[in-house]
Amino acid sequence: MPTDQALIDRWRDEPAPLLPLLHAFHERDGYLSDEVLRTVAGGLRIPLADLYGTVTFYHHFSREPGGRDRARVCDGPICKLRGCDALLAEIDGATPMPCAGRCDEPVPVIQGDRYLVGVPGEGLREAPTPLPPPNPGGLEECCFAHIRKPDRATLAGYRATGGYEALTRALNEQTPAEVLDVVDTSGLAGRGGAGFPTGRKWRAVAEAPGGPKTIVCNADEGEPGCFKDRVLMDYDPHAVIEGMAIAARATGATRGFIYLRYEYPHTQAILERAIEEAQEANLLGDFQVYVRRGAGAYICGEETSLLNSLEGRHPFPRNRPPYPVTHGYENTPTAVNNVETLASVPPILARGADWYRGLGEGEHAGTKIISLSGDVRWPGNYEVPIGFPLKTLLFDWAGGPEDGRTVQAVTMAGLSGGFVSDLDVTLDEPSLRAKDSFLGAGGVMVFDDSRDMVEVARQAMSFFAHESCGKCFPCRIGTQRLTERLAGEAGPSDPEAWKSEVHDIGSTMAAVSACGLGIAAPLITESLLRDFPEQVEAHLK
Amino acid sequence: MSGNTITLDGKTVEFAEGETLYDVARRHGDTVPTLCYDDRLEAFGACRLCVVEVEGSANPVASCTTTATPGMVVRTRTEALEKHRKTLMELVVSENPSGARIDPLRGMASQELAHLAVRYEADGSRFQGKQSGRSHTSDPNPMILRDYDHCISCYRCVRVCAEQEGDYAISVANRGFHTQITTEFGGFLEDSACTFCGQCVQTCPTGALGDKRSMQHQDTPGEVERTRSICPYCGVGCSVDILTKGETVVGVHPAMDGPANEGALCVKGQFGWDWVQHRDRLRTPLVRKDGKFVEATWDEALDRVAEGFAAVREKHGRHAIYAVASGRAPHESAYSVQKFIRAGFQTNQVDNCSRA
Repeated sequence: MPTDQALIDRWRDEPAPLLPLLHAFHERDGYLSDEVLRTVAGGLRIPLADLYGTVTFYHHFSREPGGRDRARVCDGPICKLRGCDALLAEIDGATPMPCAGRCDEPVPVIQGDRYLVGVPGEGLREAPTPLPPPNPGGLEECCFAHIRKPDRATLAGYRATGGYEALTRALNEQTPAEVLDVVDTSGLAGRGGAGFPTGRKWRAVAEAPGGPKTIVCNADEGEPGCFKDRVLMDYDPHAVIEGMAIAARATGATRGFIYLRYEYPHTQAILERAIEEAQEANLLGDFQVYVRRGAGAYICGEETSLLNSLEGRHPFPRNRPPYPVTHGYENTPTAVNNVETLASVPPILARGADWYRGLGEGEHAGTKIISLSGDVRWPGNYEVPIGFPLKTLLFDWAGGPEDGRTVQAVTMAGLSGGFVSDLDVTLDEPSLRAKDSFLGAGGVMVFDDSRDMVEVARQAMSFFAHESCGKCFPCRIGTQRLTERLAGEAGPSDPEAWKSEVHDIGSTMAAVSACGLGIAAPLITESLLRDFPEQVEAHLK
Repeated sequence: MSGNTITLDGKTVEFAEGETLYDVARRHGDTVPTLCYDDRLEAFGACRLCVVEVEGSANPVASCTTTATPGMVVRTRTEALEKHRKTLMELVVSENPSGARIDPLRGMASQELAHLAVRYEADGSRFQGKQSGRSHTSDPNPMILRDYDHCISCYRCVRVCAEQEGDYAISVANRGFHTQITTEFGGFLEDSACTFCGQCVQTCPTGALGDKRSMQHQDTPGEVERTRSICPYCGVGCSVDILTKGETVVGVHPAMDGPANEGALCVKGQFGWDWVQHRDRLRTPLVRKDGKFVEATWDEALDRVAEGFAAVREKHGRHAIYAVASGRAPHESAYSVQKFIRAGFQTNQVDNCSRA
């Protein structure tokens, strides 16, 4: 068993050392004791009160002996439909955790480093991440084109289809400006939810003064109902790494971090092995890539919280401007890109900007992976052209709901886009924004007509309340008050007064919250009031 | 037209490079509300009350964290903004005990929440629900009351502790509605890195942190008067406002415009004022007779001192004597002390206590 000093010595001089050092102690002792926090605070020269506060921010760091290995059972929206409550009761000492990103094959359970799947009454088993189903429309794919091939996760498997050739060409035959031009022209935009044009982001980093510059791969896939980044990293890790190295070439970055959510422990090993393989084969040049594991905080998917978390600070979002492209990791120019965005880059460079643009429907450029789950026959990750009709995906590709059931509503952007019950939409931002929703990271959860939408909304809001960082007032108090009202724990019983309170809280949160969490969360209540007023009234009786 | 102007509520106004919209608005007499702002601290952007509309921006922006840029068109009090501010105030008030009166002696900023609640008619009738703060009124320290039932998580205390004092004694535990202001491991202040400078108390906008010494005078009759003075303790010369009710000193506030301290104080200046009227304070010299202190005249007392010094010098030599002058003494007295020691005792062993 490593000594305190050995662990401190191992990490103290590494970049972004706090999280890996805490994980090392967490793993060694099974929890984080007061003594360990004192040691870490001394070793990394962090004020003890700050470190204590920051550790309590992350829900997966246990402060009780034996806590790390106690089962955490996903109680996300889909797992609620699939018996997570029964599973929680079956497993001794189990506690619930927010959506752990396996809605295509629930219910995920984490026990220490083990990632298991449980079905009530049937116990737990180890099971690999489900592969995406073969494209039901036979459409050409970008990210998933080769993912179903065996050995794709190995360097040899990846290189078998020309992997790392785009990077090698970018390094040896193209200037950074040429790489930027291809990405710009392709129309690629952030696939993590914000949809910012990738080329523009990279150009801003390339042009920003100062350094060293940094590429951060945002793999903190915390949005409920989203499980696309997991499949990309598990089965095509080299695509992500190559995408990062190309981003480094385009921007002049010399280091990269993959910020991976806590809930994917097996993925960390896959990524680290892939990085090692690529480095041993001398493919990455001077670009250094580090994997950093989160510790349970949805807000760390917000890029500035993520950067604070990497730096070992309290993971509140930062005020912007300045933006990460000029003041990112340790205040140096940083590109923060989602896993799917980065995995799209090697095929774009290999096959050209026009090829990628052409994958979208009509005016729309490219593809989007949709994580589809809930009341459909064949849940899973589907790569669709941007602009693809939602109904085709739901009914033709995924088989629709069970016989005799109809689709009452779907969520968009995981939970952040609220409910959409008018299914005549296409999967692109203009179409969805016209319905007061957005595509975001591409999580779509389906609820058939047997579901209590007020209860679904309560679970959603309770998730946002659980994950609100506590920095800005509208989100910290608003998510709590909305949850209490949906649960019937507080608030007026008169329907008009109830709606007025819920709407007033929601509109202020949406207008003045400091980050996307608080801005988006009230889409749940606003769409509930819009689409299911009769269920709301019934709930209030 | 000069480069550095913006349109503020219809008027063209100038701004200095780097000024925030909040600064500009306040300089022009605008009373943009805020609860998390403190001049001395980096703008934090938490309370969102200071949001303003900027043309071209989809959502209102926090004026405290938005730097003015040439040509901005800014509105600070539209109907929509005032509605959001009212909702925010109603939300904030809903997480606090309703109807509680906070005595101004708790701290300098302690009435900010109450004033804004009146301004926005936030009376606690809307958005009722759970309350977030958990008080630590059992913290046994004699100076700082920790009444977190009134805490609104603006983090001014945490920030002043870190940014101004550099103590990092308190921080933020948990998250969301369960956020609590904490010390390391949630313990008492006296077991933490706290130096009891009391600046968390003075920046708290709700009275969740209170000056326990001052609060003992809540029921002392009379209006509070403020008198600008200089802290009598050390050589730094911090400006203070001494609070009195009638003839009684009831508290000390740091002066924000004090050139030496800019709003900071230490434990002595902040909390060490009650000796002025303490019942144990000496009013005549005491000399020891038969092992007990008894009252004496100055002549009697000074004779005893002189005898004592002479005896020490006789027995141990002149370097057995060492003088430490009080930092509270004026220059003239300090000069006299060193003269007295050097000329009177022929030793250079003299120092001053202002080495903190």
